[in-house]
Amino acid sequence: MSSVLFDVPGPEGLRRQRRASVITIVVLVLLAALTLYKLQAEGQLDGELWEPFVTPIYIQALLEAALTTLQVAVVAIALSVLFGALFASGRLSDHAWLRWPATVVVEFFRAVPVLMMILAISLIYSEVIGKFWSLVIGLTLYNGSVLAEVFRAGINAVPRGQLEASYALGLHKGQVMQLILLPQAVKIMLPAIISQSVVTLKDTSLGYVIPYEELTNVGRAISIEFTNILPVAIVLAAMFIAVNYSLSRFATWLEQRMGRATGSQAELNVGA
Amino acid sequence: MASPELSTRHAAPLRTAPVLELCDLSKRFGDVLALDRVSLQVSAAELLAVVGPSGCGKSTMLRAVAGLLAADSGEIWAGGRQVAGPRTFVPPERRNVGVVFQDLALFPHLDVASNVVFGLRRRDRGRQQRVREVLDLVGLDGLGQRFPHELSGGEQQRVALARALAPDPAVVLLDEPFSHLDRNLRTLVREHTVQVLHAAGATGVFVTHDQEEALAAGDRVAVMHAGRLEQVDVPEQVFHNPTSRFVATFLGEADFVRGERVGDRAHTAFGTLPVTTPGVGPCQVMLRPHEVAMEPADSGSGVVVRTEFRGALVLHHVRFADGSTLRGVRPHSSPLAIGTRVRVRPLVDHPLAVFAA
Repeated sequence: MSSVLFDVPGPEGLRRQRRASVITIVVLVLLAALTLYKLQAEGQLDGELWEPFVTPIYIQALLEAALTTLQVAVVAIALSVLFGALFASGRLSDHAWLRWPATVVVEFFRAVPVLMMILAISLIYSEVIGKFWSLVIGLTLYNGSVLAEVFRAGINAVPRGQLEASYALGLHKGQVMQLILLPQAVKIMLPAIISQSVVTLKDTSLGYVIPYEELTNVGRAISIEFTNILPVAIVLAAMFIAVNYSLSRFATWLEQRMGRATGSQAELNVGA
Repeated sequence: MASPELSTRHAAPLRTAPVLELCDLSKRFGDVLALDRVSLQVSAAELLAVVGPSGCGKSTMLRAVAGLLAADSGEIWAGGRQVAGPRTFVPPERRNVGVVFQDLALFPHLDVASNVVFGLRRRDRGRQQRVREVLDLVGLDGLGQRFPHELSGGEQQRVALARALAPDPAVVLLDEPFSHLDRNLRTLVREHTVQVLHAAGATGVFVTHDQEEALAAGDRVAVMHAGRLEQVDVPEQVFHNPTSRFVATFLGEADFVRGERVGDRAHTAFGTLPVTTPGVGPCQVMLRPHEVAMEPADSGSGVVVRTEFRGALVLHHVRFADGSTLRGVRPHSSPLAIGTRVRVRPLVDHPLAVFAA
C-alpha cells in the first residue's frame, strides 16, 4: 500500500509506532484511574450526588431543558442561514448602495461579543418579545453575520473561469448563481456551515445570563439543590456531546450524499 | 510574392462576407496598450490562429470578442451584427459566440451531458438530440453520464469543445486550448479539434503562444506583438515571407545575411539569392537553419563554434571572419565537431524574405 500523502513506514518505523501506541494507552489508562480515584477520594462518586440523574422528575426536567435548547438552536440556525444568505448577497451585489450597508451590518455584529448582544437584547426587548426570542435573535445576529462571510467566501472560492464560461454559454446572472455558483459553493462551505451550527448550539448555554430555562440553566438549578456541580457538568457535557456528534454525523452523511460529483477544479486538472 | 506552390495546402479563404470582423479595436490597461487598433476579418468556416508571445494582447482580443471585457474603442461584428461599438455592448450571453477556455472551466458538479446542454435554450425541444449529436461529433458518444473528473485530459478537452459547439455559435473562440496537455497528447488533440471544427463547418479563432501549433492548425495565422497585428496570412506566407523581423524570428529560427539588392536578386557572401521583394541597395536576407547547408572544407570561410542536438537533426552555429554567425542543420548521423572549418551554401528553392539593411 502506498499513499501520496505520507511515506509508508518501514520495519523500524512500525516498531517505533507500536511502542508509542502502547505508551500512550498506558498513560491514558493511568490518567483515567487517577481521575476516578480522585473523584472517589473527594466523595464525588457518592450515590446521593448522582441521585437526581436517576430520579424521573429531574430526568424529565433535564430532557425538557434539552428540548428547549434544541428549539432555540434550530430556530437560531435556520434564521442565521437566512440572515447570512441575505447579507452575503448584499455584499456580493454590483450595487454600492446594497454593498455598503450589508458590509457595515455584518462587520458590526461579527465584532460585538455574542454574550453582550444577548444581554443587551434581553434587557431592552425581553418584555416585548420574550426571553426565547431575545436569545434566538442575539444568536442569529452574530452567527448570521459569520455565515454571511462564509457564504461570500464560498461563492468567491468558485474559480472565476466558471463564471465566464457560464456567461459565454448564454446564462444570465440569476441562472449563473443558481445553477453554477451555488451548487459548487455549498459543497465548499458545508464544513464551515456545520461547524458554525455546532457553535450556535453550544452558545445557547449563554441563555443562562438572561436567564432562560435552557439546559445549562436547569443544570445549574440542580447543582445548587444537590451541591453536585461536577456530576451535573459531566452529564450536561455528555448531552451536548451527543447532540453535536449527531450533527457532525449528519453533515458527513450529507456530504457523502452529495458525493458523486465531487470533482473539484483541482481534480479536474490532475485527472489529465 | 511567393511562388504559387506555397499556397497549395490551404485553399485561399473564401471571399464571402466575414463572419467575424474587428475594426480598429483598442484596449488600454494603465500604461499598457493591450490592443492597438486591431483590425481583422475571419471568413465563414475558417480557422484563424492568433499567435504571439505572452502579454502581446492575444487573450485580451479573444476576451473582447467573447464580451468578457469591453474594449476602449473600435467595433466588433459577429455573425453579421455589431456586438461591440461606440454605443453598443452586447453582453456575452447574447453574443452567440462559443468559448473553449484555457482551463476548460467545465462545471465539475454536472455530468458531461448537463455541461453540454447548458448552452442550449430551455424551450428547445431537440435539446437532448443535439447533445447526442455534438457528443458524437467530438467522439464522446456514450460518455454523457460521466462527470468531468472521471475523464482523461483529452476527453475533458472534447467536452469543452462540444459544449462550445452545441448552440451552433457564429464563432468559436479557443483560448490556448491545448496548453494543459502534455506534448504528445497535445498534437493528437489538436488534430482532432481541427477536424471537428471543420466537420462542424465552424468559424473559429484560436489563440496560442506556440508557433508550431499556429502554423499547423490555422487556415490563416495572425501574428501579434505588443498589441498590434504584425501580419495576417496563410501559414506558408507568414513563415517564408514575414513582413517584419519580429514575425521572422517569432515563427522560427532565422538569421539575416547582408546583401546588395539588384532587382529580384541579392548578392551576398554566399552567392546571389532570389528575394521576394525587388529593390535596389543594401539589404538583409532571411535564412532559416534548414535552408543552410555546410560541408567541411579547409578553404571554408566559417568555423563551427557550437552544436545543439535536436534528435533527427543537429543545429550548427557557424562563425565567420567578420564576426557574423549563421545557423544550419545537418542530419544527426553526420554532425561536425566544434572547430571544424566549413563552407556554407544556402539551399534555396523559393525567393527569400528581405528586409532593409
